[in-house]
Amino acid sequence: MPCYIDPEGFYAFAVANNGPTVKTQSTSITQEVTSTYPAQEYPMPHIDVFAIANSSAVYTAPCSTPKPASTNALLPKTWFAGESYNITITGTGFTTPANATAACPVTPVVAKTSTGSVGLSGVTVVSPTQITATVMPDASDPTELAEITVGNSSNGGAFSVRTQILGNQIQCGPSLNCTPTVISTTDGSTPPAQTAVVGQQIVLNTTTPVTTAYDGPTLTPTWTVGGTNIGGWTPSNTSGPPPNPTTLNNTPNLTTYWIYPGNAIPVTYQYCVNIQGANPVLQCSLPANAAFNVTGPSVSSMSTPTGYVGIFAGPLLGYGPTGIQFNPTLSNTTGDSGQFDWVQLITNDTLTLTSTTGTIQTCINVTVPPTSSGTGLDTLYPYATGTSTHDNPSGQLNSTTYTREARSFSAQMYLLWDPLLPSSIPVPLGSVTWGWSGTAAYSSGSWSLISSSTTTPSWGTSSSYPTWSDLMPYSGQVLCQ
Amino acid sequence: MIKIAMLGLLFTSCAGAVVKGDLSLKLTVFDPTVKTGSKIGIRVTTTNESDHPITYHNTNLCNYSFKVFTSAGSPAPETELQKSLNCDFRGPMTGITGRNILVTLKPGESSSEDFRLLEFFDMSEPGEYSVQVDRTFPNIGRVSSNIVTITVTP
Repeated sequence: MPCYIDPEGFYAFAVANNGPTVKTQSTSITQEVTSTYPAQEYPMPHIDVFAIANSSAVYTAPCSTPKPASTNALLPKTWFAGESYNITITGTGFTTPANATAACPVTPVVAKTSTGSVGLSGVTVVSPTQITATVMPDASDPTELAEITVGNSSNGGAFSVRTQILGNQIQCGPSLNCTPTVISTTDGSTPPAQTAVVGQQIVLNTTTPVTTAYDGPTLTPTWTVGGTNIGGWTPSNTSGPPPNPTTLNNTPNLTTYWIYPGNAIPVTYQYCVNIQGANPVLQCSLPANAAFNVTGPSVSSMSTPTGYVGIFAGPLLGYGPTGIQFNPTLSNTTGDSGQFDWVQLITNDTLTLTSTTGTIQTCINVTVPPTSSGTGLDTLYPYATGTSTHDNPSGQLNSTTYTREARSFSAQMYLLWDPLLPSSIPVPLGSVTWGWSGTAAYSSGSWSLISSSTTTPSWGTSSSYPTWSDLMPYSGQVLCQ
Repeated sequence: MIKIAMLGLLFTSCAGAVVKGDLSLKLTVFDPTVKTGSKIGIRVTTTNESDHPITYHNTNLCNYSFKVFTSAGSPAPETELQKSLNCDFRGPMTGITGRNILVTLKPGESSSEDFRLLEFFDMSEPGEYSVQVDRTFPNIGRVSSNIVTITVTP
């Protein structure tokens, strides 16, 4: 059985448990021992090795072999990029400065990553069983596995412990066509501003793993999005719900839409992990910062020339002959791209009908779904497209049934712009409130206007979306009481 | 089907005699192949094929009559919205308008309107659908569009 004596400069001999045949050799550390002791005195064969200082004896012995502890050989094992951690390596066979020699130096420690880098400082071999150090993965490191190597494989041996670096990067979704894909910084420097337009679907991804390699799930992923933004808007003819808010919490990916232009609009992302051995246990990533320059059209003014309330050929009671026109003066348009959408909400449309028998009824137009509101989306979504539109609501006068017909009408016309990009949505630019009323009376075989009024059109710039829950199809059906 | 409830006698001023063939309807589909449940957008473009201006009014959803058939030739089921439009209704207030857009097309000019078919027809069953639209214009008559095919995939 060979035995090894370390360090050199010692005189060595060995005693076997069954009666030694001691051989000594000053130039070799290998001794052969023949067992002659009765087995019953030493049930387990063993060899006692003694070393006695002897200035004339020189042995070259291997360094001690570092070995990791069976559990928690490295704590913490999860590191956020850009953060520093005091780590502790636990095991056996570490060579301390006090025990180090020229041949067996202090146990070295090396940190390696596959793509990023890790700063390693303050390595201290506290004892043969403990090493401490400070690590700091580079702020730009992606999420990847890293490795701590303890010892020297060519001198005493080494072992490696795996660790995970958690990067924090915001990446563009495919529709944004960013180059490079990573658009964020975490070191406090100004991120490069990306370009976008209002209404464009902004999809941002991160490299956040659902679960870390060693410390359980990632927690509380949180986005902070500057500017006025929403999570989407899904109108139909019968429903114009309020826009969805952007989902900012508990999602590693972001889908949002900006509805106002702006420069250097900030987007920030951060997430956390409970890391064993860290202090405090709950550790969070550095914020990843991105920025967007968002462009889009705006309306500097709105011209709304109007006609008049009267009796027109048909005969019709209406706001004619061309009603009201909506002619915006646009600025910051994006060339020929995109589309302007008009959406009109009827806020009041009441008919007061006096029958030939003298009965007076108040009527509203039937809605879909049927409600008693008498308000809702005017006819269809969108009302019209293009850079201008108009309206001249009217109604057929029916002298067979009625001797007097009055109508009170008010509406709000919204102007929106849709960039017409994949999954884009229209964004509101503002709206015009307007209205009219008129009363027609039938006498001596003809209709005449006996009273009328108009509401001066009023334009307001606004990022408010039109909302409705009923469609007014104007199919001629009315609900009277 | 969406049908005409009222058409443009409203403030209509037509220059010159209009005859059938003066206007044409072209139907285009934004995406001829869509996954079931996805939006199906179509555009109806009206073009003045005559040598004189033509005026008409865009009012309600009954302006157009869409025909949607499955590959087996069956009409696609109508949605509740389509059924509730009740375009055949006639009453004393028939002809009342909210939206009333006067459209004047010079010779060769076009005007278009976009619709989302799924709001009017159930096209959730995968397969091929053929779509055509008709519209009756005052003093011109009924004009039919081309037929487009839309493939709905699972």
